[in-house]
Amino acid sequence: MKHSRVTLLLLLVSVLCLAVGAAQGQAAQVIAKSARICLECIGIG
Amino acid sequence: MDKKKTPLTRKRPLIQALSALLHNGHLTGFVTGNIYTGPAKQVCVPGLNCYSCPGALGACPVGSLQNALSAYRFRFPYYVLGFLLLFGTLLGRVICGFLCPFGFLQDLLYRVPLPEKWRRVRKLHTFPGDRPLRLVKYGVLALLVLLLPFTVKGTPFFCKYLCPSGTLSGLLLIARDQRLAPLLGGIFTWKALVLTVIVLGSILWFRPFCKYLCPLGAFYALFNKVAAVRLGIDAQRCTKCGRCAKVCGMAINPAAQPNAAECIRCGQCVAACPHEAIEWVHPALSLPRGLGKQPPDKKGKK
Repeated sequence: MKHSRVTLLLLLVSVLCLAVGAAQGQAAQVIAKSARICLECIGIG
Repeated sequence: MDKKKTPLTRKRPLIQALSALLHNGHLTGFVTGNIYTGPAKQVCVPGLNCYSCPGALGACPVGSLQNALSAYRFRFPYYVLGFLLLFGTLLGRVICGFLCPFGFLQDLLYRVPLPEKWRRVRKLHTFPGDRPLRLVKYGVLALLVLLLPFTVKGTPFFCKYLCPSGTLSGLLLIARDQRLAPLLGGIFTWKALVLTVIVLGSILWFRPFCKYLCPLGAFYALFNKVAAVRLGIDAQRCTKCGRCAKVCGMAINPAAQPNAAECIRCGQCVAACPHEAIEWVHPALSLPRGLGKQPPDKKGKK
């Protein structure tokens, strides 16, 4: 099934992206922003 | 409606409520005004839910993506894109219909009782100019989420100028911490105006933010055709009666395009079909027993 192959390929790519990003420490970049009040988001910054 | 026929559609409000609760499980934050700062904040959530919301347990994928793109020391945002690809590939816009807290809020507003003359407006699911307007959300994704944050460092343009989820979070935070109130200025006034228009629009029309502005919905829309969970038409059962198109709040014709990019997978068409011709299909993954059906074979037989 063509759809299933594309879906599986995209799933593999997404897991690969997550792994590469995590290995590069990008999770720390995410939490550094998300664990503080984002002034731009709430309309102050 | 045969309740045995559409368990997933029937359970949608409950699933939406549970998802909103999971997205915002830091309930003490709503009382203290302090946001959650634990390890779950490094994980992106599937729906549009500002990470500055006092209850937010995870990171907003749109905010995280803009933050990664606008970082002064740029690295390709593999991590955030990985989450977005994963959510999109597994569910597509099922996230809009079932999991997004802001989508749930719009659905609740759409249930606000209205006088008879306004109820007629509600029945208009489309209008002249509606189709081109729906392309705006792709522009928002390309310009405010990707291009501008990448070129003008340090500014998450969508969060700063448009995101209504952030404005709601701001209102919740200001309600608990009056020290923030003197800091409010023109940008907050603008964002409050945007939020007000979206709230009023959501009372009158079905999911206006999802239709016209949401960059996350625009991203997931790209996956509707290939997502693991999709809708399928049993051609032998479909009589093209048009019942599905009539109930569709997104004004698409599910019988002709069951996996249209605009479909938010609310399942109203599945419930409305008198011939059970529209089905949830799951070629790559299995839904829990009873929530979906196996896809029909090539001849459209069961």
